[in-house]
Amino acid sequence: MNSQHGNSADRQIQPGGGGELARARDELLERGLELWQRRRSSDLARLEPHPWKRLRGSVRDPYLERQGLRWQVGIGILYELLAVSDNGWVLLFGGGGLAVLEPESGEAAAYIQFLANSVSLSSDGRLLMVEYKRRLSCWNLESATLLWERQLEDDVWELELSPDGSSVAVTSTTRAPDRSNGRSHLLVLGSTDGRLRWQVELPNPSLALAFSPSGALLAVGTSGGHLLTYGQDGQLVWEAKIDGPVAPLAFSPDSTRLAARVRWSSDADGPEEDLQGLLMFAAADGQLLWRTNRYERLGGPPSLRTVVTLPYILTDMIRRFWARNL
Amino acid sequence: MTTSILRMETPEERELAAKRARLAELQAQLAQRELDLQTLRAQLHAFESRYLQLVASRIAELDRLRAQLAEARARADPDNAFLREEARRAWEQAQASARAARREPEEAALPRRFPPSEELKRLYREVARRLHPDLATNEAQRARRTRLMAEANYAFEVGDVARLQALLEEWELSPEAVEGEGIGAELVRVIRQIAQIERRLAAIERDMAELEATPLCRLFREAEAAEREGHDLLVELAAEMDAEIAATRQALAREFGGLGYEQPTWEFS
Repeated sequence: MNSQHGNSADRQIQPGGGGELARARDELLERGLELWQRRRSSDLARLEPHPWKRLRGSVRDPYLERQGLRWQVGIGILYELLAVSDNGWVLLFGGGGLAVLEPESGEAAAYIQFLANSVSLSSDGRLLMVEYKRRLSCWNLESATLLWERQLEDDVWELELSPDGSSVAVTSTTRAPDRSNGRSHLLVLGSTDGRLRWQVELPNPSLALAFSPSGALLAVGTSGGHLLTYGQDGQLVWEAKIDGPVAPLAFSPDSTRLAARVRWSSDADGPEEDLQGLLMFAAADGQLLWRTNRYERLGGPPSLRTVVTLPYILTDMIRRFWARNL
Repeated sequence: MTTSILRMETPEERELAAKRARLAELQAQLAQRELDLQTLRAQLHAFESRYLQLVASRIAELDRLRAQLAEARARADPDNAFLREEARRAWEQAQASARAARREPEEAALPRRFPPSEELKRLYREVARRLHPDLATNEAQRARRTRLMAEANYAFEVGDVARLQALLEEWELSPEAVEGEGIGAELVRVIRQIAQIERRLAAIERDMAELEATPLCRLFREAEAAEREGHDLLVELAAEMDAEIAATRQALAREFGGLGYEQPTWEFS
């Protein structure tokens, strides 16, 4: 509504509207959502257990119909399609929270959480970790039960369940007025009880987190260009310093290679999209196997996950094979 | 023998006709999307007002009682810095909730729900199709159209059919409603109008997506889903809040004989 005739609710309803009152109202509305969620979370228990198959790719397209399904999702912005079951149920993460969609209609049959910032699903689709406002919640999707919750003091950046689902890695930064001055940590918690197994301090906030498929290594990429890999007990295995923020990261399926994308600052000449690079490391010792040059334009493959599974990359429309040792 | 000269359509005229057809199509699309956006906004206004009345007011009351309880506990153990800090935070929360839950008079006057009639929707589409600011070809016209559109938006939200009708009539009599001034100028005008409408359509889609992501809209969508299953989400939430309020009152009575503090007694910086 135009401001000439607007009422105070416009502060809320106009997209991009801000202000203290709007934020306070959002808080009140979120409390209503949480309260409703508590009532509805029992819905999950009413569902038949679904053996979920985790989907690897992230789907940012708002319409699942493009994925070969015939209905359209109405839960707001879709962030990620997490898993599907054999009988067509869909588990997704969107602006409306974490929802289980019914196969025939695409209607939300149950909500796991209405409010979520980060999620991670175990490889076997059994465990789901959710973070919202520094509160971690671990769900067992087989039994449709909340296993544990833990309130953290620090702001959470990334969250990743280990491949066997036994632990969860979390990166966080101390809440400080100036975030860049906060202290950053990597924590690994047991997924059955939420207890801290180990933690280390990071040089700066993390932007990416990845377990190797074998579960032996945990890699962290930071905003300050650090790439750090840790063993299962928290010992630093190797580290590399890269000339830009590191994100995302991906291990090859056999856990022998680790690919990292680096984003160079845009103060150099050239458009922003040219300022990304790829680096490939030997996962065991951190040896740099190859890297793209700063102004080498990347074509396909589009995702880092594909980079570690294919034997070539495309740069400046030239197909380059690993054997040629870029 | 009579000869008649058949006038061939010039390329500009053909182009203008095609562009006009495209413009008419876009105008209809724009009118519908403006209607969708205004309907959602009006629905959210009405829903928020009802939420404030039924639920937020109870949250504020609950926070006030919790603050009283926290303060009573802190007073019972005056050396306990932790309890004192808890009480300070609880009062801060209570004050913030009370401010946010307060309904402005115009919010209280909003209808309980917003189901626009077919006539209201038809008129609004017509107004948007004719008066939309993005059809303006100069700044003065844009300003006038913006003012009229704002009036139309307000009339739509309060369900004022007569006002929408009057706005349409007013427009039809105005000089801006007259088209013309040569084919070249007209072609340029139509092309610009098309570009403006396309930009506005994209902006509407962004606005809709942003609205959908707000807590208000998410709760509204939940309420819609609950209604389809025969539940009134806000009434049920209010009942939950009442139970929590009663439990907090009981705790106050049990621990401190019902003593409460209407205002915070700690000095907060």
